[in-house]
Amino acid sequence: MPGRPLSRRAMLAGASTGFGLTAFAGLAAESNGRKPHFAPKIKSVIFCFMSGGVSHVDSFDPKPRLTRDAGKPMPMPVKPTMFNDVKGIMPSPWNFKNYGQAGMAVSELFPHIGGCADDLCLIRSMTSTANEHAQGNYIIHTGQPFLGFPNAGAWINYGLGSENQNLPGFVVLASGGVPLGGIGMYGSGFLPAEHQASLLYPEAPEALSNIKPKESDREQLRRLAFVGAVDKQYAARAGADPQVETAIRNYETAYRMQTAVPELMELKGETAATKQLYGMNSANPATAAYGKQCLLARRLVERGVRFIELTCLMRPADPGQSGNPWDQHTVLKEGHTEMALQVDQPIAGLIQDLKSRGLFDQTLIVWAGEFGRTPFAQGSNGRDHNPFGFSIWLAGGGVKRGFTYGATDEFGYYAVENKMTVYDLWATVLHLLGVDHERLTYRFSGRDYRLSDVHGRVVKDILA
Amino acid sequence: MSTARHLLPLFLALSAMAQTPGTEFFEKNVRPVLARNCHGCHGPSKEHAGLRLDSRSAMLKGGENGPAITPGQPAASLLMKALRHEGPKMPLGGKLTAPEIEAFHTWIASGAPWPAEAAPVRATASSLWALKPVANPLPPSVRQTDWPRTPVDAFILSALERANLSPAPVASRAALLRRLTFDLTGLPTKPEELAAFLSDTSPTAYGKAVERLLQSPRFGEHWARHWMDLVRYSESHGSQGDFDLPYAWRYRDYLIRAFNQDVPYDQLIREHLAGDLLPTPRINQNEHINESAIGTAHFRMVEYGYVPVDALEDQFKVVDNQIDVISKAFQGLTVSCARCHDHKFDPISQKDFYALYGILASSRHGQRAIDSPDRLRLHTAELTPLRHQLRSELGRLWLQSTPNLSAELKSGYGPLALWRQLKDPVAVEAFSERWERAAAALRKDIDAYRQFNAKSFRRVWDLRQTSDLNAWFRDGANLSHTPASPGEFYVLTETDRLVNGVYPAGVYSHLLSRKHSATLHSPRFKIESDSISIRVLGGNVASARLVVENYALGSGGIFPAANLNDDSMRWVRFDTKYRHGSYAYIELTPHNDRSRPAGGAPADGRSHFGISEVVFHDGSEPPKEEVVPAELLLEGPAPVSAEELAAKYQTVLRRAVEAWMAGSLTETQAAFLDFFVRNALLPNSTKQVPAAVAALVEQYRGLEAEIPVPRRAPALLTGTAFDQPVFLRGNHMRPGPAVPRRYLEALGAQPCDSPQSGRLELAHAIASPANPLTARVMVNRLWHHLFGRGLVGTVDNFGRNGETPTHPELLDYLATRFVAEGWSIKSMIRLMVTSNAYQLSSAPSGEAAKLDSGNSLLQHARRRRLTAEAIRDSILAVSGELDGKLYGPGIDVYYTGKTEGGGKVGPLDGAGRRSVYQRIKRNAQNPFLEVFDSPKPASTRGQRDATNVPAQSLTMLNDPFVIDQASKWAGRVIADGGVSVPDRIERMFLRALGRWPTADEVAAAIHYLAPSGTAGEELLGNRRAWQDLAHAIFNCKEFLYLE
Repeated sequence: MPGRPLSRRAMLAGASTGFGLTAFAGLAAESNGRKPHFAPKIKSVIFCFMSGGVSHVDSFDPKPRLTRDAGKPMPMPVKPTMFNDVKGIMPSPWNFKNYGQAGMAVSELFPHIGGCADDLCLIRSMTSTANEHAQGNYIIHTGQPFLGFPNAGAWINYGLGSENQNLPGFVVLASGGVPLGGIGMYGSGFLPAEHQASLLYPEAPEALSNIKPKESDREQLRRLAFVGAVDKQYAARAGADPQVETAIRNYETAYRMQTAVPELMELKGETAATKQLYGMNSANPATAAYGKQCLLARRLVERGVRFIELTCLMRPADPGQSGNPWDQHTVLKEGHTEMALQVDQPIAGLIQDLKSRGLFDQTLIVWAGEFGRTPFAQGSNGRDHNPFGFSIWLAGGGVKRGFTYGATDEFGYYAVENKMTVYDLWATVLHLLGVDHERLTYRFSGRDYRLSDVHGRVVKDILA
Repeated sequence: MSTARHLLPLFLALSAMAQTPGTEFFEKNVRPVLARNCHGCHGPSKEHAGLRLDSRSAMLKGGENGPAITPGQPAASLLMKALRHEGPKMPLGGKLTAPEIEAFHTWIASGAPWPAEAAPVRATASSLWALKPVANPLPPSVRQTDWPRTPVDAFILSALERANLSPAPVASRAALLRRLTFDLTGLPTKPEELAAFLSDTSPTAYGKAVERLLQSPRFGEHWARHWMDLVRYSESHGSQGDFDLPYAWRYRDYLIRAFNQDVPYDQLIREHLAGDLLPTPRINQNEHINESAIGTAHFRMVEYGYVPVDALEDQFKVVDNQIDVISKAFQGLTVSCARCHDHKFDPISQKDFYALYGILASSRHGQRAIDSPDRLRLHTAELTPLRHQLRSELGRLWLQSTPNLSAELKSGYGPLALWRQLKDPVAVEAFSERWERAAAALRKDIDAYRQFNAKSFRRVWDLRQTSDLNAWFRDGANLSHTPASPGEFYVLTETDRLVNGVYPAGVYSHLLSRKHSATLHSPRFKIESDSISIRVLGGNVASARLVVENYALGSGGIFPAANLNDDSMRWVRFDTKYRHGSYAYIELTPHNDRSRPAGGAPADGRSHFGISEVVFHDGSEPPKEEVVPAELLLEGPAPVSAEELAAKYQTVLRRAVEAWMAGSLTETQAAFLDFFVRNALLPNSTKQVPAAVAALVEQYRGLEAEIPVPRRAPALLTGTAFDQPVFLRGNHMRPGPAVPRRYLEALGAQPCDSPQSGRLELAHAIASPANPLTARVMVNRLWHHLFGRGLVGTVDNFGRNGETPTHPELLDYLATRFVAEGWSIKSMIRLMVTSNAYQLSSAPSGEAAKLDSGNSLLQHARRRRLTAEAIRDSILAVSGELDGKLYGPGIDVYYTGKTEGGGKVGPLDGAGRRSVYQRIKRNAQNPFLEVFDSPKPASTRGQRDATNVPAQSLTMLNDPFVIDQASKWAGRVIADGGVSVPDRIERMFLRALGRWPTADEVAAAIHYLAPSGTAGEELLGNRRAWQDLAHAIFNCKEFLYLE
């Protein structure tokens, strides 16, 4: 391999420029910044992002009054909605059933996840501040409604580093569409770019951009050998410049990644039973594809990747909504049925598989959309956006199980009890990772920024 | 960059010195309770409700609800009420114990004594170095007097000598030329340039190279890109939809021209802030462009929300971002930090933020024609008399014609309805009776319309009145400041028909040409009615809309809007119930001036609008059209027969034509005449008129055809100026007192005393030699780009949280000289690059590495990684594929991964154009450039990251663009000949790395090309082998770094 091993001393001695800093940080961090602030409960986070906004009153937050008052106007002031097409109260088309020892009420949409009720920490009082997808997406991913701020996954990698040098520490499994607002929401904002997400495409010929050599291994090695010979002279001329050394070392990592990524994506070694557990043999191609993402998420957790986000696949009936497939302003029943079918079995399979492999306790699954949906109808059969109160759930290490936290009003419109914000959510997730959200800061343009901005509290009530 | 960033001791600890007996009680019984229960929310890190409880002065000042304590009067003190839960219940953690509450009572009753304290401080205008006046220091004397080449060197050497360091030797000439070429143009040195430089051994060789590069058009391309980082240049608005910002690239081209022409920096600032308001705009005589008019485009490069429910919140985000950008870019200040509270570190108050907010929110977002005045008003002088002539000729013709009243018409019978009803005799009834009944019915209808209109509507603007029109805002060189009288028309350009019809009174964008640019907008008003109706007409997807809280992308739904495609005045109603309480204005534009283009854009750039009235009302019906042309038939003696009625029609029509010719047409006459013209009942086609009239129209059309479709750019437009209320704690739902529009108090700004927004005053305040920041910040940016680090490392932050200058005297020397030399950017760059300090080798001396490991004293040159654009451009330049074309619309980007709203996928090689010409979409950025840290267009980024990650290695190894360029380079290597393999290798090294290969490298390359040792003739033609070598050279680290 080209280059020469990088000695820590050479790096320290050569740190005479401002430009090697990010590479340098990787090393410096081992000894100081990147330790957790306190003992972590979990190592990895899997974010099942339900893009478009799942209706909480049809899934995890039953509201009998919607049936009783069907068609009536809302008895409380209705906030402005995006489509300004406010109709009467709309009952849920689904029945609810109590699951598990906890007796958690979950609708018919999610029978498999319902079956895992005793592993869920359900939050029925989530809130956001955006009524629009792109801003809502940015808020739940970064805490701010626009481009330029780091994703939670980037913060976590910045704070803790990756445990696997041959894979990116923050991975988005991009079988589905890009949420509205674009891939900027997966970015590192003002944090160094190395912390941004790498998009892996499970269904594409090249799972990671430019991971696939366009030549034989032998040819590539020959090229790297020649490059190494030239680089060696250059590195010598450059003294022990850490940026040059790191750039050389990156080629070693890149070379190994070319093996590590395909090895990650190769599922031949997984048993048929495992694949079945994840729904990968489903007749519904979207279920199979989502199942593949869930299985890959487990494999990424096994490899020490810190933050993994899964994307929902579009509904074939509505390709215009590939970025927001849960967004049923019309045909709620058909749309939600189809979307739930896509994710229900795979996510339940993921929970069970993580448990059976002893990984559940060191992993946290976060299941959430950017907002919920209104208890009243939009048009004849849809629901508009509702950021004022909706349901999300967590499952895994460090959080209570079979537990329900917070509540919305009797219509499911506003969160009224133990209201939770996006900042609270990430402050709590950071806490589980052993990070104090008030101490994970980055100075940018004159102030110390945090994932939780100037807000956020660790929601102790949901901690195990 | 560890997480364990130590905050500076920001706030002085409260001193416990000088205690008195009274303060002992406080220290023992009150302060601990405060610290434990209150300071978390009302202390240095948070100021809930604007209140701090960590000093006596802060308590006396209080928060949003007034002072916290009144010394001596516990009962009157808000703090006591809160503690006793008699109002707000505090602290949040639970009520204090009774003894604790009693202690507070005692303490306040005794006058609330507090130990002498240093109040929590932030820097003041007098304590922050960057706000002190710029000094004019003389270059210091140095021991090694033969070293300095320029005054810059004296400052650098003096500091080195103080540290007992000697400067590194000068870099090799090849390395120096490569450094200089990249720094000035962002491109590698061409081999022939290197050869010429090396063969010129005269002492002026370097200076000549500097001049050559400063004059190169590539200079402007490279430095414009630096500037684009500061203004978060983008060609789309992000968020859902990622809508395009039309003509954004015009601003990029403006920058390139400005840097190439060395437009003085103070002029550039004035143009950026108020280019539209400058009394003498800068006209580009070659391109016929009003350059100054383009300057404000950067204000439009903001991220708008998608159909935001809360439009004011969206405006808040937009203006906040604009303030963030201009304060950082021009002043190195983080004014945006004062959005929710006074700046914690710098002398910037929350009022300062809202004083600036008022200036920016008083300006509107739109598009503007950027052609020079001569182009905008081309042929105006000729066309106006031609129209008068045409009116006379047509009038004469029409007086002689007798329209067929019984013609069959397609689109309604208007005033002829009466004729059709009455022309044929009816057996049982006399004509007079039938006439009386029909006339009465018509009168009744007309009366009903007028009554309905009179009682249900509040006419807010009658744009047929000059005074009302002049209350509105007009942008467009051909938009008249007086309303059109009834009878105006436009000359059709596409068909046999001559004129469109006869318009009522109103304002029209297009009376001379439908290509003309025009934006007409109302004063700002508060929406208090359920509906707003406007009487408008238009064609080719013109736009009429209600712009709510300056939201620029509204196009219907909860942002009322209408496309105007009907050339006859009609009432259009906007439902405004949803927007009660919001501020808004009405905006009319032809298609090409829309901020958000609609489908069906006219290919020939022609579009138009007209408007006459605006009413506010609560009902869901717009006003009735009360100009009824048939009303004219009711005047005078009643006709007693069909013949008399026919004669009446002729009389009314004749009078209307006469009035039209005399310019005294009434609204009703205009409508009457319009009906006959539009329905071709009067001669109105080239086939129906005498040759002389047709020739007149031809002449008109010929001149009109020469009028160019105006070029546009995004811009700020003038609107109603207003003072913005403070948003308490940054909450836009909680407006506080309004703050007069002005610049920062710390810079001595006074409220603007003009009825304008204050942008012009702002421009002058920033582009001023007296402003201590402007010149310092800019020379520091230039230094940063040339030396790899600014004299102030935090180039965008000169505040207390930023770094202090490593060479403060040098910074001031440069700032002073910058202003003295007319703010010339090229002169300043010339001064910097001709210094000895710039030309040093990048190898540190042993002592320097030890004593100044950060190289802040510039003992040697910094090794720097090339920017993303320079890397991509280098690959194209080296392969020979670089297209040197300047300017033009952005090239669609080639995407390798998934994107949202990425639009068309462009060519793999970006059409061979420089990176500065690649399109920038917020939601789908260029993946190649992004991997090398091209900035996201979010806010000012004066200092880019230079990350060093494996994704970059993977890109250089496997990206199809790199491989494709390697292949093309190989093709050229073979085509260019070259006598031998080593000769070719040498040429390739020279081309890519700007130096000759070493013998070892040549040997390694030969071995790589021909592993089996057959470097003979056949190798010279083996394209794959040369492609492999080309690809390998792109992957050498040296390719990415500047020595």
